[in-house]
Amino acid sequence: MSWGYSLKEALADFWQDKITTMLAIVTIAFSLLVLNFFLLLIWNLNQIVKDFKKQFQIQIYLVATAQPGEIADLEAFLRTQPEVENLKFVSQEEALEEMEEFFGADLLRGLDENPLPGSFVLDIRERFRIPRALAGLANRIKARPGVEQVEYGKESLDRLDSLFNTAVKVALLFGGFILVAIVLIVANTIRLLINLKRETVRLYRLMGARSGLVVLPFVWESLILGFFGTFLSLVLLWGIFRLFQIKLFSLVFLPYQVIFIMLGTVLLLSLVGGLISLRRVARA
Amino acid sequence: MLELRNVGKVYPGDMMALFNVSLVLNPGELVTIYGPTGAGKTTLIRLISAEDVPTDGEILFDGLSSLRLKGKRLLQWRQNIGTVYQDLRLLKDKTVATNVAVPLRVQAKTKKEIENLTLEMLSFLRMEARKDSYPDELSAGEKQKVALARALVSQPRLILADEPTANLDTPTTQEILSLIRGLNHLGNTILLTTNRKEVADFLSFGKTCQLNLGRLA
Repeated sequence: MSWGYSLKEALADFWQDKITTMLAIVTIAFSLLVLNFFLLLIWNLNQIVKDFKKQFQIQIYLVATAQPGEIADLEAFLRTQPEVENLKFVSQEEALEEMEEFFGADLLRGLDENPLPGSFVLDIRERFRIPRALAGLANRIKARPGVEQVEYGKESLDRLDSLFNTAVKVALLFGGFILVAIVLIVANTIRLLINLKRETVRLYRLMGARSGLVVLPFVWESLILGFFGTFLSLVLLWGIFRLFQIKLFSLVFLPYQVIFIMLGTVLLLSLVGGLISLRRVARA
Repeated sequence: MLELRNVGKVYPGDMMALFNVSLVLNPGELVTIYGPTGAGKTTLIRLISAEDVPTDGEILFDGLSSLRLKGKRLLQWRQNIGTVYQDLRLLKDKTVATNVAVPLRVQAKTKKEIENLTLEMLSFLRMEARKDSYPDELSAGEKQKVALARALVSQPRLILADEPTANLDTPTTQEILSLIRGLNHLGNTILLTTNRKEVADFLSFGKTCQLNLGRLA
């Protein structure tokens, strides 16, 4: 069985049936573009969530009447918590200095007492930067004596996580449909090509050709459809990516690992699509 | 080499194409099956070339039986027969050389062997100048020669020719028949069908059988 010869045959067949082939490639490309667009969106959302979580801190504000003993107990408690990576105590005086530095000394002039509470700033270990873990930690801290308020950007984090999860769900749903569609598009195109080549297939079979010899050009054709469909969809995605990057904000393109996984998946599905149509030829 | 034992073929709708046909073809022999259109000649060729299966009887070829013929034995059977089809079945999108080379590709010959054997065969039939032409650019006689070259190129054990002179003018018919006669003299075993009396007469040095309404006389 000559792989090179069958590849040459496949390319010649494609050239002969340019319109059928081009239509199939464009259909695959546009179907994949929808999926790739969602992948790009998810990838970028993931980056935003990661960046947000990298700068993530919890602020614990103490009651004005907090006693040094209570503060020391709270610090000891915080140091034993698995979620806490680092902590820093900001005294009332330090808070005032920071505020004066930021807004100017005039703002708080005339006040008899320092109104700012003492606070702890916690850095959270990366694996605990999820809403459920943070809510649990916040509740445990709130229950401690001397604590007035715990802030950790709950709403922003919840919103980002929910957006990310929705995008993943939509991508999975669309992705499932699109991947099934690719199998069907390739199966249909190969069926069309087999019909166009039925006399050749019949002649080869009558001369005693093994299934492999008859089937191999169509296997190549299935893979070529998948390859060029993916390539075209990536080119289109790159165009869209550049457009958004220039007009809106800074985005990152899909990394090559994701591209290779996608290409591998599409090639596999194209092969499945091709083989579905080739079953009859192989048995003939 | 080839033996048909009480072979029958009934198509769906109870249309009987062949009835109780028995025939023996020895190596180096030429047998002409002569009969009118619709006599069952093409059906006979289709059964011998394993394009179709008999509904009755058995065909024996080179130690193989047509009963339960499948897999490797079916491929072996088909590879050992070179057929010139009545409708020629040339691949229109392929050159003459590529058409002729089909059986060699099927038998997985090397690129060099394919090139050499194809050119040898085309040169034997004086068609080497047309090797890069496409079937639609050829005359009826040239197309017939290409079909003949394709049937011969792999040196099959048996050559079947289904009305190889149909639609040819007299000089071309003479040329094709002379070629077939020459091939037989070179030791090739040939079974040929025709509905033309002059063809049967020309090849009368071999065995001639008459086929009428599916029955062999």
